[in-house]
Amino acid sequence: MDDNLSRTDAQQRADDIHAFRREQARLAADGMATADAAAIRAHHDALLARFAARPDVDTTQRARQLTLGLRIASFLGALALAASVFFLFRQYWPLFPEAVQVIVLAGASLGTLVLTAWLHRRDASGYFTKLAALVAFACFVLNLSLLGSSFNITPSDKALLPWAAFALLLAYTCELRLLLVAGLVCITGFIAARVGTWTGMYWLSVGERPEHFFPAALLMFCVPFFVDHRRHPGFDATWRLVALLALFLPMLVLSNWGRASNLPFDADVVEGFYQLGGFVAGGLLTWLGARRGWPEVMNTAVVFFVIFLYTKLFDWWWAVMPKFLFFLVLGLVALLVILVLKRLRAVTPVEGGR
Amino acid sequence: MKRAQKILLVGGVALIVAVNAFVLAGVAWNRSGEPGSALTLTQRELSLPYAFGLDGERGGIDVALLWRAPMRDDNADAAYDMHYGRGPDWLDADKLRELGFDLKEERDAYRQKREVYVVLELAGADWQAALAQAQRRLDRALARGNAEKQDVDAQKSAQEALKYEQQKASRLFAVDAGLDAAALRQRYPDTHRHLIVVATVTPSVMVIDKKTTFSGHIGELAVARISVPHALRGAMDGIDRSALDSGRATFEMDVAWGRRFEPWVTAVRPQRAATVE
Repeated sequence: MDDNLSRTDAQQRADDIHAFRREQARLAADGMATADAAAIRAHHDALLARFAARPDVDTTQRARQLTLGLRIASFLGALALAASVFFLFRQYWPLFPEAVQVIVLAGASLGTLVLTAWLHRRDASGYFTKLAALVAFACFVLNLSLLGSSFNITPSDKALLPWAAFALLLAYTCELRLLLVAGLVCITGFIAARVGTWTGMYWLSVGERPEHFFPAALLMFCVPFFVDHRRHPGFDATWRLVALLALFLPMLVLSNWGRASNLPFDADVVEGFYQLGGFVAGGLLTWLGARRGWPEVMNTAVVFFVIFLYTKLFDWWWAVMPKFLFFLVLGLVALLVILVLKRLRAVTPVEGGR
Repeated sequence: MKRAQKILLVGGVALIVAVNAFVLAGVAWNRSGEPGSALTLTQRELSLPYAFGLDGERGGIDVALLWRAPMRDDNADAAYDMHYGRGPDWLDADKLRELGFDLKEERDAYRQKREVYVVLELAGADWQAALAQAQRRLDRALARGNAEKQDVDAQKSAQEALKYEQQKASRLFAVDAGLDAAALRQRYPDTHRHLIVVATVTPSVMVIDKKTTFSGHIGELAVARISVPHALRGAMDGIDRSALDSGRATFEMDVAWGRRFEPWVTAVRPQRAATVE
């Protein structure tokens, strides 16, 4: 019977079975393990009616499609409003005395924060909250940077700390992953700059030594082990994703530009070390992601593994091979990656399986 | 929901207030007590911003400090040898090591950048030397006579260079650098002539005939642009780059540098030439 199903239908069926089992477990928890079909249907209808009243829950496919549009509109609107605030300040800034500047800057930060909190209570969908939160963050960033230029303050990496704190505060209280990313970028920049200054470097030369990003990557990867994110869906994945970017991007740079390393070896040795490191880290993290059920880790690791592989193949063979052969080799490598991933998929424990 | 709101409001307000208070306290501390340096500078040392009003936006007045490096030997025939921002002669390998640079990795020396204290001298011996050099160039050009057209051009160029040096070129020269500001101040005690600022230094390496020479480049100052306070900005009305370039206007600014080596403008004295009909 199942052999007649197309791949899509079989996939749909598998997903439905898993969803059915999860729902069965919930029904059991609700004390309806032995209820008949009619009772369960009535229970489900009541639940759907309750959920439909909530603006942040999609109970139909059409609502789900509209939600995606709302998310995109809210993201673009937030960026546009933040830019608007930036240019508003830039246009009228010189007209104010310094005391008024301070009051306006702090007032804008406080006002948008209060607006975010007020919207958070009333806007169950979260779209307007996201807009207000991003504007609040932009106001706070402007607050510090414009104070700096008004009072001729030496630019410092320390500004990244309050920005990170503010972004994380907004992210965790309003469930906003976009601001979580902003906060993590600030944290990464701060840690990398600090590591640089401890070695005597100028803090803005942070890009000169990509290895300085590794401590931040390690720290961010470990945070989800110690912080409970059960009430913040998707936050674990975001921490890990940013951590992997902070690990792989510097490795990719160092595998092609060994002179940027702190290691006391020749550039060629350093590049070889990081090329090998990229393959090993990519392979290990792909395995770890598959094993722990972290799709973001697995996918990011696979992407970088392939990038490392392709850059290496380009170095070796682009100049010496006929182009058709070079691309044939790339295709064969892709086939090999598919086979490895299929094998990995086969040994991954089946969800709900025995 | 309610708890999250409370945390957001209390935490957010506390953070914003604390950070603003901390920043303003830092500004107050920088400006407290006797200034570390206090110089009277003119349009020669302070560059006005280029006006950008194409999109209807008005910028404030931020002046940039113009400083120079002492000129090299007198042999070059180039009329304008200003070396704004170039590495001075005294910033050699020994000085770079003194500033904490590791010069063992020759090829990568340029990738080390550090913040150090730099002493800028106003209208001192280096400026006098620059004037004398411009005068010597003119003397050499005049001594060659004016038989050829290129001799006439060289004379004209040397005359313009001397005039520029006397009237328009910055008189602020980088004369020393160190890691200890107090020690530098002891060596250069005149706070009205010797300014100590924070700036980046980047080593550069040159290999000619297997002989390696290190020099240093002084980069941007930690505070590259100085904002003119709102209360003093009115004095600068009508004074723009074209008025300064044509000599129709000049200005003096008293600028102080505080405990954190951060500057602030304390007075502005503009002078507008009467328009000649």
